[in-house]
Amino acid sequence: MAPPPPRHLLLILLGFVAAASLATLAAAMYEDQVGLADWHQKYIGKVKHAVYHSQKSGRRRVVVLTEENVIASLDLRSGDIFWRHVIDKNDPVDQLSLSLGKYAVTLSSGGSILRAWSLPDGQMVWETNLEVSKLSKPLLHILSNNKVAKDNLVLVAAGRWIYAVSSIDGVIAWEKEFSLDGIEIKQVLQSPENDILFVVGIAGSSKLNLYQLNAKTGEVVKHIQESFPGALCGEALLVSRNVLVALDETRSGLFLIEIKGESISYNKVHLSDLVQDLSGTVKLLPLMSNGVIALQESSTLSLLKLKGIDGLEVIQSFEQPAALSEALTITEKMKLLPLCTIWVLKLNLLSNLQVIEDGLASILDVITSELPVEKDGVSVANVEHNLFEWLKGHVLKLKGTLMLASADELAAIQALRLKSSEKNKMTRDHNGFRKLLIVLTKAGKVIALHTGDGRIIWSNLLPSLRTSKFGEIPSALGIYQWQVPHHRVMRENPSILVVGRSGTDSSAPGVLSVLDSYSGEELNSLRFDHSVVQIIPLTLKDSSEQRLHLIVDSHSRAHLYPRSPDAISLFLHEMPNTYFYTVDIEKNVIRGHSLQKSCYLSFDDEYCFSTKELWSIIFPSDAERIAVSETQKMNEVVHTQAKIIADQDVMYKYLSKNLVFVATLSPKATGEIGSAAPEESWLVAYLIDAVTGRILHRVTHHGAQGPVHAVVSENWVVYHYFNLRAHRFEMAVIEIYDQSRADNKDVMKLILGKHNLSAPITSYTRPEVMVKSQSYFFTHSVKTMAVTQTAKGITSKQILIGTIGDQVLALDKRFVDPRRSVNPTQQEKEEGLLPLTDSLPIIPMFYVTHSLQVEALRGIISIPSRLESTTHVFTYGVDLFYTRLAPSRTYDSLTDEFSYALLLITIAALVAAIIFTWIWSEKKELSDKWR
Amino acid sequence: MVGSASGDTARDGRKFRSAPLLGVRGRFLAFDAAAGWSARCLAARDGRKFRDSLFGAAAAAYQPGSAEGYTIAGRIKIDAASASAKGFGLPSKTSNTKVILNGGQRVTFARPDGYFAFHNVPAGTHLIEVSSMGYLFSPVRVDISARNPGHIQAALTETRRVLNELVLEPLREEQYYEIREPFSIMSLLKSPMGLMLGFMVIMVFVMPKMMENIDPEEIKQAQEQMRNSPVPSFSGLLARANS
Repeated sequence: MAPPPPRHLLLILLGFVAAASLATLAAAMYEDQVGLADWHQKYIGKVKHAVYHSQKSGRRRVVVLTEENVIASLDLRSGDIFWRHVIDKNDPVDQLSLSLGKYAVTLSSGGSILRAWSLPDGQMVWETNLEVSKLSKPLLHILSNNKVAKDNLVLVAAGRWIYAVSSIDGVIAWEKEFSLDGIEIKQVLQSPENDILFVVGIAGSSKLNLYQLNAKTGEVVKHIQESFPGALCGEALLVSRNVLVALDETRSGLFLIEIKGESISYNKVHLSDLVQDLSGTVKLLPLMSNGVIALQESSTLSLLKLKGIDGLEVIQSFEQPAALSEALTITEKMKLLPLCTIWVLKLNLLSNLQVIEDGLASILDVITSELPVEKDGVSVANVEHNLFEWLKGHVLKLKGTLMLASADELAAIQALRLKSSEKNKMTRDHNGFRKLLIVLTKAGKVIALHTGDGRIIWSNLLPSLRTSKFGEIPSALGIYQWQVPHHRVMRENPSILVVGRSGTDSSAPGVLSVLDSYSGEELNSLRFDHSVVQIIPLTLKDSSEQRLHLIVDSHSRAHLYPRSPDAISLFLHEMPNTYFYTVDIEKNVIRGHSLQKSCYLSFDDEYCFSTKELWSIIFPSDAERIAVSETQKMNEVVHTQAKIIADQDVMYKYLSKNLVFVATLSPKATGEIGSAAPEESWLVAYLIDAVTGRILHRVTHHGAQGPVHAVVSENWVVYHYFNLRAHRFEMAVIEIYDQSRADNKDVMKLILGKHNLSAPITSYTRPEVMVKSQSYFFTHSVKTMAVTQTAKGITSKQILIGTIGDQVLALDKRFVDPRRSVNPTQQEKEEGLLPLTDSLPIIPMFYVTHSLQVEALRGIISIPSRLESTTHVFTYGVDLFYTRLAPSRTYDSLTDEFSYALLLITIAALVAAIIFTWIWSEKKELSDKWR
Repeated sequence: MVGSASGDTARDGRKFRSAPLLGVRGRFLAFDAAAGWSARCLAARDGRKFRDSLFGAAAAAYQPGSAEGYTIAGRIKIDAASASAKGFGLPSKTSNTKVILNGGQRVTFARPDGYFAFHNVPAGTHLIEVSSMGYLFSPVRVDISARNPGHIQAALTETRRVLNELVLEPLREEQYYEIREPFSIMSLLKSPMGLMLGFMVIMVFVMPKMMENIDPEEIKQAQEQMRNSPVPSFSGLLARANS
């Protein structure tokens, strides 16, 4: 029998193990790992305004303004972004212009903020705040070649005011308020001599005023007023240097107004004489081409050429022009070019930018799809590398880890890592790292991206979501899994469901299309005869593995899709157990519904169900307004239902898929920070069971203010709000435990079956719950929150926080544990409980986005991979960012970092040691025998 | 005091109607629309405070009927030398430094020299956040007193430090990447393979030495004990649990 090992030896061993476990605690990445598992794509959105800029030397540039409120400087040849700024949504940029060839000047917030950006590097040079009335449409005009001073003046006209701002430092040179009642400045023109400004304003609806101002001082030199027989609608365009075209009130006639020095002469032209069958509203589009105007109706765009003041002539008409949206301002001497060239150029540019970049900046919804299974016969591994190459790579890597590699070798290592074609393959991999991210954009375009490098696999602008001839603008609503093949139908391609509306109104009939996940082809499309308010994916699947969906319309009837007899028989079986809830923010009510057979409107439609209201929670509108409601993700997996705490005690989590978190705010607290006093603002957090409407827990935070962001997972809720008393942001956590099962602790009872763990959990039993909560200070404002999801739910969770700086921080759930105490006991420390601190730490290495920013961050989603330790994180805003995250390190697989060469060396060393010791002991034995 | 303030104004010859703030010898004053007068009044009453507090705030009575607004102006100071010295590949410039008022209500950018301003801010308690890659800034609580126009207070919310002047400096630099430790024999030993080797070496060389040190009689005694003590049985455990 072996003697018991000496105690101190065990201690040494323990020490080693402890050191090893400590070494694996940090979860940050190294700088050379950037780009291995993550990718970042920069976008700007759909261009609505562009200004060309060419320097005599260097590359051609274009400065663009997009619908995502981004101003960017792009390389005209390649489309590369030189610089880019995402302006806040509250500060819409209306106008863009260039000044002195050095600055890009933007006018935003209805003409009240004027900013100048340096063209080469995008640095903001100055910002000036102007006092204008918000209602008017502001104009930005940059005076060219002012001989008076070296700098150009930037003119901003809005309503009755006109400002002249120096383009060098943003100081207001002069300003002028026109005292005439109801005047609105429509146009600012410059005389050829550059020292006189013409300001055209319309007062009332028919009086045209022409002011002549001194460009240097802003003094009124001359004022001419002219009345028109018919009223003007206010739309006016300057066509040539001195001819103004204005639409009349009925939008059926054009006034051609010529300004000749001191007098105004005009002529009226009827549009019906020029363009046949006018329909819809007529609009004038600005075109910076001499003597040509663009006239837009509902379906056609006509280009009209001015023939003096006497009339107009149609040059060309376009049916449904594709790139109609906004015309470009061409500041160069392009006016000489024939018009068609400009047109082609414009289309070229727009197609260049749009095809690649327009949709992905405005993502609505994201799902993932598996890639095809690798076909037998083609073994990729054999083709890729032979053993020698493989070994060589690993020797290089080893050199890298041992810091012995030269600069060239380091570069080779990096290239080797990034190249690794393994991650970009179009087949399913064992770990589930390769997937398709299928995104739905605001314009109704569905795009599939590869998780390996973010390239676009396919994209499809859905015909059912395209703007129709009738002028209705369809809106996309969401994207869902339609068919995820398993077992029998494995050979079929998975498909996805896209639901939209045929109009912007919520009562507009819905549209549905089913797409193939691998090719993006539309397999099926359907136009509903009912509206879409809520889409409920059910857990049921019919025999062809199609997932059942309930679509609730505005008359609160539910419609079942797919419409197959198989689906209906399945669903009828489950119908008594199907409940759903609706949150009506306007009416401040949460309602629970059940379904009933038969639709009272159309009896013959067996796929239509009427709903019955089961319960409702009405919040008093004068004290509480619903701010946010949140549930856990449908596909979330929970591994353990019990939590073992320090003193060998067990706490059972209250796990219910029907748990809804609702936060309400007092009416005053819904506004901006700084608008309410702490006494009149509060936040009430509710935990509600969605089946019965029972309020499981309610807690009030006094002095709290919105906005509230919340995330629900397992048995806990984490929510973020602003604490007015401390004037800091706070993150609160609520964990809910089931008390009724709390006495299931005895091992014997478990063995003998005297427990209630296998008793069915139903929402109708009155739960005895215990709630633990705690709140912590958090430094940043939050834009959005999410939680990591893993395949089996074993890995510990991280809360993904999208901060105001457009970064994503991964905060370990352990930091927001309600059981943290100031002085944790020894047992609690062993359990891994952290000592209580008043604020949550921000560790820069835990930024998922490391040194990148996801501009205008809007959403974070986490999708489990097949490897339990790892999850996909996809973040979208104007930019896209994807990475793989391992919240508790990759404990179930060797990382790419793993050095096989080191392993080989160790084995070799061990073998050598064994041989050496063997020889040594042989020798010793021999010498002992000789003794 | 008053004289110097207006003197600066006159010398620069600039108008201050809703103009941006103006640097005056490392400090700055900011006036709002049509407010030169009231600001000067304030300065006259408490000139020193005005100049030292670095917040020039005044009522904007420009638009009749519109709410009274104040200007919050300040400066972001990032030590460029330290940033570039570290060299994380981050631009040392403040080119993408955003200043955020009240959690996104308004966003402005810092100028090349670090100055920023929010105009027409109502009285009340506000929060300013600074977002700049590579740096952590503490949010700043700014109180604009309604009763006492022009009186502004600022304090860092993280450290509760009261600011005399609204010069925002980063709390710390943020390092997003772990730094690769230079190769050391210790790190090799700490790796699982190193531990394996180490354990083996101990077993091979230290164990026999230890065994030599233990008294043979002691071993015998221990073996005796092992033989005599009863093996804990499962039935015994069960019996104990039931009682």
